[in-house]
Amino acid sequence: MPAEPSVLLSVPQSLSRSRTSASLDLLRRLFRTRFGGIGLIILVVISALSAFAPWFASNGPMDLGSPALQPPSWQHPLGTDSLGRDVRSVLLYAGRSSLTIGFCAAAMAFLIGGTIGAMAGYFRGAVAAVLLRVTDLFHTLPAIIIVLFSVSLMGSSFWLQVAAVALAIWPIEARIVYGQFITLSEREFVLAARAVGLSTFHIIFREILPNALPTVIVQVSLDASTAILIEAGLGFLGLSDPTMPSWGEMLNRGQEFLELAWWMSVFPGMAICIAVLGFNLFADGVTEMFNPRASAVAPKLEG
Amino acid sequence: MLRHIAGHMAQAVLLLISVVILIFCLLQLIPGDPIQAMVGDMPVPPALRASLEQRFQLNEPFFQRLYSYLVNVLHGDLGYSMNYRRPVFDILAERFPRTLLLAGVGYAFGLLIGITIGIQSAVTPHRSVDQAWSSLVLIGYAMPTFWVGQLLVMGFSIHLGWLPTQGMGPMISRASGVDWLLERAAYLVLPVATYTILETTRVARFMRASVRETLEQGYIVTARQKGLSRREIIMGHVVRNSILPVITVMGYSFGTAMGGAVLLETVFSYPGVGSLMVEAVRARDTQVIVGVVILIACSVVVMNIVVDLLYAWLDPRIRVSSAQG
Amino acid sequence: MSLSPAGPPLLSARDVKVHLRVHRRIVKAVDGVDLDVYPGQCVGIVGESGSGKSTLGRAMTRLLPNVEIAELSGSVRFCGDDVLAMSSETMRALRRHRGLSMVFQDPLSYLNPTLRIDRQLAEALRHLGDRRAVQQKSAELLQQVGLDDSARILRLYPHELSGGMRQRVLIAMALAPDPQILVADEPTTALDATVQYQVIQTLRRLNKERNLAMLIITHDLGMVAELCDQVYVMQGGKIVEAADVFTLFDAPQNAYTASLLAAARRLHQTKVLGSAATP
Repeated sequence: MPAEPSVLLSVPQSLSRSRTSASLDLLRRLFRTRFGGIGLIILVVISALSAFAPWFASNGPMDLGSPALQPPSWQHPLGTDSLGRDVRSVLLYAGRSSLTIGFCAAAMAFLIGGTIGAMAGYFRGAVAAVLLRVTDLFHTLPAIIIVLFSVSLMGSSFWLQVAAVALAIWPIEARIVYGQFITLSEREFVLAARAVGLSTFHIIFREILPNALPTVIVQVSLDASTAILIEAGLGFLGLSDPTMPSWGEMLNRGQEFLELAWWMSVFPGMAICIAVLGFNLFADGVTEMFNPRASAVAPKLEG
Repeated sequence: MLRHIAGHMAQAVLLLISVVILIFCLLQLIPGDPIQAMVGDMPVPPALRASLEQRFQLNEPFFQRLYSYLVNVLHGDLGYSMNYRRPVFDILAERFPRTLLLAGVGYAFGLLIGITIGIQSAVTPHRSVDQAWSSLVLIGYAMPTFWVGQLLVMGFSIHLGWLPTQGMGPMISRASGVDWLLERAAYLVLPVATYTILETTRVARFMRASVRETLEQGYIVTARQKGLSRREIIMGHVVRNSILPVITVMGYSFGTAMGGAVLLETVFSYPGVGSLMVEAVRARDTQVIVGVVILIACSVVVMNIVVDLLYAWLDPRIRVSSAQG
Repeated sequence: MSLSPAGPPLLSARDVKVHLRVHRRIVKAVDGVDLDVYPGQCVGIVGESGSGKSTLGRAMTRLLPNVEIAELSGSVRFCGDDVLAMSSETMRALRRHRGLSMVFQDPLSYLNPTLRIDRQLAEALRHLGDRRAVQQKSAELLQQVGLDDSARILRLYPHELSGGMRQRVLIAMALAPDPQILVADEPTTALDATVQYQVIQTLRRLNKERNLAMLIITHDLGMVAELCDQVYVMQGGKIVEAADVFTLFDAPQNAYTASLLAAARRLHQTKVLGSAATP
C-alpha cells in the first residue's frame, strides 16, 4: 500500500525543517530492510568510482602504452586488453557512460511513459483507450529490437542511445503510472479533494503524485537496471558510440579474445552485474519499506 | 468463450497492422535518399534507381504507398535485400526456424525450471533455502545474457573442451541418423543453456511472488482445514492458481527471449534471425531490418493469442458462464 | 439446546496466550483465555474488532495466519487431547476424521476459484474411498445445509454461486468429517441481510437436529441472541464476562458488556425506526 495521504496540504512553513529529518528517517528505514541499504551503498560506491575515475585509475582510458593482453598482475590488477589499455582504468571510465546512459534513459522513460500513463489514468475514456493501444504497440516489440531499429535509423551518439533505450522501456513505466492513477484516484483523499473543489493540477501534483512516489522510485530504479543491460547489449554488438568506452563495448572486444584473455570479458561483465544488482536491491528495499509484507515469515502449510 | 477469443484475435491483427504502419511511417522519416537507404552501403546505378523508383512507386502520394506496402506485406512480399541478393521473405523463412528451435527449447526449459524454483522458494519452511535460491536467481538476473553465454563458452568449450564454441553444426559432416542428431545437439547445448538461464531467472522471481500471494488466500486455509498434506495443498491448489499471473506475461516474455536471440546468436555465431538483424543493421539493409521487426512482432502476437487460450482454459472465471444466484 | 451441561466439555481452552510480533512490537492478541464448549452447546464469543476473538478461534483450530508468533501457550483440549501440543500428522488425522472444522467470514476467498464445487468437497471426503460414496455424501452434505439442488451446484464454480450459497457450501465442507463441533468466525458479516437469515437458520438447524456444538465468533449480538446458549465477552485479549445468554442480555455484570449491549440496541432502534429515532 502507498504511504498515507500527503501532509503537503496542511502546514507549508514547517516543511523545510521536517524535510531533512524526514529524509534521515527514510534512510534509516531503508537500512533496516534486508538489502535495501546494501543496494544504495553499491550504487553510491560505483557512481563515486566512475565519477572520480581519474583518482582511482592508473591511466587514462585512451592510454595505449602498456603491453597488450597481459593477465592480471600487481601493476594491472585487472589485466590489459587487446589495445594495451589497463582494464581497470577503462572499466572505471566506461562506468561513466554506462551508468549515465542507464540513468538518463530511465529518467526519459519515466518522463515519456509517466506523462502518457498519467494522462490515460486521469482522463480515462477514449483518451486512455488510444494511449493504452499505443503503449501496447511498443510493449509488443522486444527492447533490443526497438533499440536496434532506432539506432539503425538515427545513429548512435550518446543522446541518441539514451533516446533509443528510453523508447524501449517507456511502456512499462506508462503502465505502472496508469495503474497508480487508477488505484489512487479512487481513494478517499482524492475524492475528498475533488469534493472540496481543488483544481486538477493540484490534485495530480500534490495529492496523487506524492503517493505514487514510492512505486515510481522503485520502477525508475528497475528501469535503470534494465537500461544498463540493454545498453550493454548495444555496446556488445558494436553499435554504441565508438568515441566513448562503455562496459558493453568492452565485452565486444573481449568476444574475440575469449580464449586468450578471459579478463577482458569477465571483469566488465561483473561490473554490469554489480550495477544491476545495486539498482535491484535498492528497489527491493524501497518496496519493502512501504510494503511491509510478512516477508520474514515462512508460510504455514501444515499442522 | 469463442467470442472472447475472436475479440482478442481481432485486436491482435489490428496490433500487427499498426506495427507495420508505424514502421512504414518511421521509414519515411529517414533523412536522405530513400533509394540509397534501401540499397544500403553500395552506389546506385541510374538504371537501378529508375526501376526501383517505379517498382516502389516512390513518386506516388503517401497513402498510396502505404496501401501498396500493406498489401505487399500481407502477401508475404517483404522486399528484396541488396545485401544478400535474395527476397527478404526467403531469408527469414530459412533462418527463423533455427532461432525458434533455440529460443523455443530454451524458453520452455527455462519456464519449467523457473516455475519449480519459484514454488520451492516460496513454500519452503526453511528461510535459508528461500534466501539461497532468491539470491542465486537475483544474481542470475543481473548478469547480462550474452555475458552468461561468454562465460559458458569460456568454461565448457575453451577450458574444458567438452562442447564446440560456435555455429550450428560442423563444417563437414558425414554422420547420419542418430549420430547426426547428436552432433548437432552438441552445438545447441550451450546456447540453449544460456536461454534457459535467462528465462529461469525471470520466471522464478515472478513465480515466487505469485506463490506468496496465493499462500495468503483463504482457500489455502480451507485446504489446511480439510486435513490435506503439504504436498496435496501445493499440487492441488497452489500451483494452478499461482501460474495464472505468470502465464499472462508469457507472451511478452517470449518476446524478450526472441530479443535475447539477437545477442546470443552473436555470441555463438548461430545463423538465425537474431544475427541476421545485427548483420542487417551493420550493412544498413533496411528491408531486412523491417522484415525482422515485423516477423518478431508477429510471433509475439501469436504467442499472446496462445497465452489467451491457455489462460481461458485454466481460469474458469473468464469463461462465459451461466451465472445462477 | 442444553442450558446446564452434563459431562465433560467437548472443547476446553485453558490459559491460552497468543502473542504476535507485528512491526517489531509484540501484540498480545490473546492473553490468558479460559473457555469451555459442551456437547451440543452453542457458544458465542463477542467483542469489537481487535479484541482477539478471531485470533482465539484460529489458535484453537490451529489455523493461525502467516504472522510471526512471539508466543503461543496454553492448552486446548479437544476430546481430551491437547490440540496445541499435537504433531502435524496427528492434527491432520484429527481434522480428517474427527473434525475441528472452521468456517470463515468471506466465503468467496475461502473457495478455490479455479476448481468446481464437487472437486473441493471431494477433497474433504477422501476417507470414504470410492467415487460413488463420495458423490453421494457430497450431495447429502449439500442437502443438510439447505442446498437441495445439489447435482447442479456440484458442477458449478464458486463465482457462479451467490454469497449465501458459498457460505453454506463451506459449512457443508466443514461437516464432511461428521464433526461434533463447528467453529464459525463472523459467518454472516460479509453477507446481505436476507442471506444472513438463511445462514443463521441453517446453523440453528444443525445445532438442534444434529446436536452439533458450535463456537460462534462475532460482533453481531443479534446473532448471538438467536443462536447461542453461552456467551463469552472478549476485550483486549481477555475474557471480561462469561454467562448464559439470558443472564448476559438482561443483567450484564461488566461495564464493557453493558456498553456493547447499549450500542447494539441503539443501532437496532435506528434500523427499525429510521433516523428519526437517533438520539
